[in-house]
Amino acid sequence: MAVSDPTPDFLKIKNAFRHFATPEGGSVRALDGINLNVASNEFITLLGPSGCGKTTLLNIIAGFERLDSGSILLGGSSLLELPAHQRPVNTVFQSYALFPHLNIGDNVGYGLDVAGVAKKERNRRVSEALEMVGLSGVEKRRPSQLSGGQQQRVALARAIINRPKMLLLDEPLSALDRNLRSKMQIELKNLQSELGICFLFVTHDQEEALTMSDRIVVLNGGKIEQLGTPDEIYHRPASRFVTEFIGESNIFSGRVLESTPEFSRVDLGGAEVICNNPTLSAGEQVSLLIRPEHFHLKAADEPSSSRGLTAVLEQSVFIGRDHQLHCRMGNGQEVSALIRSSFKALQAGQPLTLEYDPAAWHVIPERERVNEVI
Amino acid sequence: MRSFNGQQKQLLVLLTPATLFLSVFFLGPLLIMAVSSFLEPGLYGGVEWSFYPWSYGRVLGWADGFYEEFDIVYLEILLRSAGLALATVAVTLLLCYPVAFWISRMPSRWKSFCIFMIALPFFSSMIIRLYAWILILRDSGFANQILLSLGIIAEPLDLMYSGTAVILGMVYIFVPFMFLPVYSSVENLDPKLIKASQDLGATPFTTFRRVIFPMTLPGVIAGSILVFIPALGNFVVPSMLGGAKVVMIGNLVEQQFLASRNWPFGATLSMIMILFMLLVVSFYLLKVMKKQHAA
Amino acid sequence: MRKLLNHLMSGYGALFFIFLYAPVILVVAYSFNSNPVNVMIWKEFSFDWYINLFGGETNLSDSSAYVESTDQLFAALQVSLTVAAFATIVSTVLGTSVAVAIARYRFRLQGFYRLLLMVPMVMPDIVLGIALLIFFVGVGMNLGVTSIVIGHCTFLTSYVFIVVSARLAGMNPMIESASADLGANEWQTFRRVTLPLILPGVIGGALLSFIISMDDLVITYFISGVDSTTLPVFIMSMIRRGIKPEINAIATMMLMASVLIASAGIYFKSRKA
Repeated sequence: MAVSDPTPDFLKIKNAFRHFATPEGGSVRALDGINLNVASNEFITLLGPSGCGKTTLLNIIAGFERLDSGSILLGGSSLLELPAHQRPVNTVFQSYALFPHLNIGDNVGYGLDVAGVAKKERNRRVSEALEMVGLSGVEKRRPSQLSGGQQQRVALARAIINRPKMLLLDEPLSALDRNLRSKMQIELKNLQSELGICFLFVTHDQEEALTMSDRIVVLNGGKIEQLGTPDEIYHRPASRFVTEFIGESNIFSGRVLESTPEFSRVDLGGAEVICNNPTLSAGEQVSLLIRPEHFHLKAADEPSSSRGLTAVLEQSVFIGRDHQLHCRMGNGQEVSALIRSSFKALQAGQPLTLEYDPAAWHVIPERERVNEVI
Repeated sequence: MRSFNGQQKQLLVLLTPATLFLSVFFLGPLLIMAVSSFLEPGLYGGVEWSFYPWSYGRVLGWADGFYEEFDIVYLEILLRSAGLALATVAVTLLLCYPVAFWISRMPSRWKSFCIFMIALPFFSSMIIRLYAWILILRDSGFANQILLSLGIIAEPLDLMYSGTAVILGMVYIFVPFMFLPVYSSVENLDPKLIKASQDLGATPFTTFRRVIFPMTLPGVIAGSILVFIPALGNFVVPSMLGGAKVVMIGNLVEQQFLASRNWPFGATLSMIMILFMLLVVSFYLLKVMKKQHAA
Repeated sequence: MRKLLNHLMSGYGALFFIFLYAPVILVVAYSFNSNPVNVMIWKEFSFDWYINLFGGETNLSDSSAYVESTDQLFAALQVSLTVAAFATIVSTVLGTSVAVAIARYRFRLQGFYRLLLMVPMVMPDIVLGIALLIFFVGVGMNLGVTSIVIGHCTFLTSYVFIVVSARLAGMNPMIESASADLGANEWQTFRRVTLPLILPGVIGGALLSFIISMDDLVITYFISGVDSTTLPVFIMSMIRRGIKPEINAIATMMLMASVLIASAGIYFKSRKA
């Protein structure tokens, strides 16, 4: 399977709309004007809460559901006219959907069998595909005799054997336990770069998305909230929804007191913070994000600085390497911080200064959606 | 979900044969029966095409006194059939309920074996199972032989041709119908709920009344209906074990078709029987549901 | 207290099984009784009634030989088998296709079809029997094997539907999507995936139909013609004419046959995919 040069706009989704009738007589917009371009060698993740439309989009690309309006091009030609079995894409299903009546060899070889590939060639490709997913020599076994992780690999082998132009993965790791899941994440990523084809990965697990993806599409209510690299999504969330959905966050609303090219001073209602954001103007109302891990506790002998929030510790939870601190500021707002555990025990009720780097603050854009960006 | 292409066509292919078949040979005949219950009986079976409400009159009371006369005996037979059917329901329930609990506590190998053994009679010939009871109950039958040889009785007892014999026969035939639904609801009962009830201080009786019985009620209802309906309309059991003494509504219908050759009246009796069944079943469901709400 | 209750339950359960099986075991046992005068008085063990049934020579006196009905018996058996075979094929096809339609497609009349296939099962036999009789006579159709096959199919379709639906309900619908995804067209998907997976249910439903058809008395009783008596109808009329020892032998053989078929059915039903 040779890796060819990537095509930038391999998958083109334009103005995709899809709504469902609800039993109560209303209608739900599963896809509300989706525009998306994906490169031919990209690992792209559709991320969002359940009901955000991510599975609908995957099913539409696979051919299991129809689109109300819009177009989907793959490699320049439209997909929508083709029935599912003629589309050059393959799917790894959520619960694997292995054929229980066929052994592993016949499961993996299914796509070749229905295409009428000669026996010799078929067997060679079956063992090649199983080898690629690290599962040689299980051809004669039944799906029920394999562990969840092994079934997962079979599902992968079965889906790549047809040499699809694009692989769709519908929450394929959700049934695995934590350790196996992180192992599979790395393997999936490796497999993708080895095959050099586009992986469209659907998940509601933000950690998974951040680990594997080249780019992430955050979906909410059938619309794209943000499209970006994991780094962008995590550190520069484009909306309040993305901020709250990805990772732990402290969100403050405040008013800009002073703005200079180097820094801005923002009043959070009784507390003042300094942040490096040149785009703000004085008097503006803003929402500010700071991640809990971007706070650190000032040691007692360090000189105090103005770059700190004072708060009272309410609860400290030991979570292994770190302590999760739940604090309350003077104005009553809660703030959480993630601090490296130390031998010094912190007492509830103790006043703390949570120090930050001014660059750690991110201003959450006020506009609601970013669908038109692309 | 399959591909949406050609779905309509496939659906048509799948549904058309059965739709046609059942419309013509199931709904059609039922409709014709309903219609013919309002038609005049032909001289030698069959029907004449004129409106004739007197068949219903014979049973329900508006006789014209010329063609047909009202006779209370038909309603008596209907009620007697209902009584026998209800007794059958009660006895099968009494038999099956404790056994369902007994089997549900067995190790799973034994469980499936016992269920198979209870379902097995359903797969064997009904007429032969009834025949076995004739062998037992008749004057020179097994029961009398035993009683005579033990010296308990001097003369053979009249065991056949009684309401009891009919109930016995129907219970024997319909036991699997009651057992399977009751068992499945008992099997689905979460033992933790019984423990929780005991833990909260309920006596075994209260636990049964407040927890176990309400939760197995769906199975009891299903079983009762599955036994009641065929029992009420039965004519084989009364004709084998009841003889001329115990006539049920089914026998009456049979007679209209094969002896009296009054088809419209037979159709009328069937219609009344169906309506009566619907009435009893819906009354029962309503009452049971109310009780369940109260509990 | 608890132990006592358990003992009581076991005793009750044992009695229950005795109630279920003692009568039929009695029939089987007495089919080997050579007493030609009173069936229920044990004389000695013999296969005479079986030999007699198949037209063999026995040492029974002439007065107790009932060979005259043997031909009729086999004719009835033949009618029953013919009816059951055709009724099974037709109802299996009809019931399976409706079950697949309801399980795999979404359409408006689903509730109607579920009801339509429920009603024949709860409809009292006698009502269906006379309705079919009026219908067949009304349209001028001769009563015979065809009318019985049609009559049986009206309710057997429901049994097949129930059994196959249960099988389909336990099946992951994604599996068919997976097949399409891998390039199989609808027919390939049906042949390679759907059919093999529901096959145990289809076979189970067919066996159930066959047994019920073989055993049906009431509906057949009304819609069988003069030359098309089935086995149960024949046996009933035989019993009505009087208890004869050979009925025990017939009964025993029929019981054996149903045990065999039922066991086969359970085997197919419980077979894992």
